[in-house]
Amino acid sequence: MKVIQLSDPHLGPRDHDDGLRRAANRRAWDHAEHVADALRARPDTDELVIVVTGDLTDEGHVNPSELPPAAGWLASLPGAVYAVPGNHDVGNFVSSTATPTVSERYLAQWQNAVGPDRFAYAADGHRLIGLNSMLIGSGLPPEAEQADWLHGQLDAADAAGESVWVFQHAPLFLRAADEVR
Amino acid sequence: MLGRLDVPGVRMLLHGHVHRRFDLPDPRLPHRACPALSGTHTEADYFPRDAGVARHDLGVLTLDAARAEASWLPAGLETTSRYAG
Repeated sequence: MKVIQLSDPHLGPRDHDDGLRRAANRRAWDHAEHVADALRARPDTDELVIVVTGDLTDEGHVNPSELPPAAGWLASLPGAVYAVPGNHDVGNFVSSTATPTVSERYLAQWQNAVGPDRFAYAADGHRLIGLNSMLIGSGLPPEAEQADWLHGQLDAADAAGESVWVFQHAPLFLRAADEVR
Repeated sequence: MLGRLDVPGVRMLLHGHVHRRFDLPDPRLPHRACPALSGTHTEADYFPRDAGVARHDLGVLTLDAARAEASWLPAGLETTSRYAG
């Protein structure tokens, strides 16, 4: 398989009231559609696994009408396509000074419009795992659910002798996995 | 939980979120995230004073039972870098 990571397209409304943002959003859509065209034109699309690591939308958390068109762009990509949300999709880390922070309401919006907020895909001795990094440190019930799910995925990878590749939006740590956020 | 990822069986952590702005329609958008796909790569991403047309590549991991190989493929995308600062 050929894994292609895309990230942060920030697909916002092309008819935004603010002229500057309207221009930026139109450019973002132009770029995203250009890349989708290039990927669809490849001869090896049946080998592709495309992972979009968040900020699919520009303000999808507070403006959920951004989510369905962005999900449509995801659906236009060839191969197997997976996405995890970023702070612009489901809110910021609870430890962030930026607001709004992640919430179950924002998470439900993503799940309803785009799909699951995490994924696992195993093939050819490898396991790709996608995490919703925005949940980490939130204390929300889905954080513990995701942690349990991750342990299960890692156990399965260990048992199968698979290499693991982990995708998420925000870096999970800077220097050490046990550092305090 | 994260300590579970800091083990040899986990080959790589791949993230987004940290990206530069390029092809800005207006430099008055100081915090506007990169409107192009930052999962693409150009040298201009890392040398913000280099303005001009940049061709973008996509990062690719080719994974099979015998190997894990990183490479780039053309994204079919060109942008013009106009950094706000």
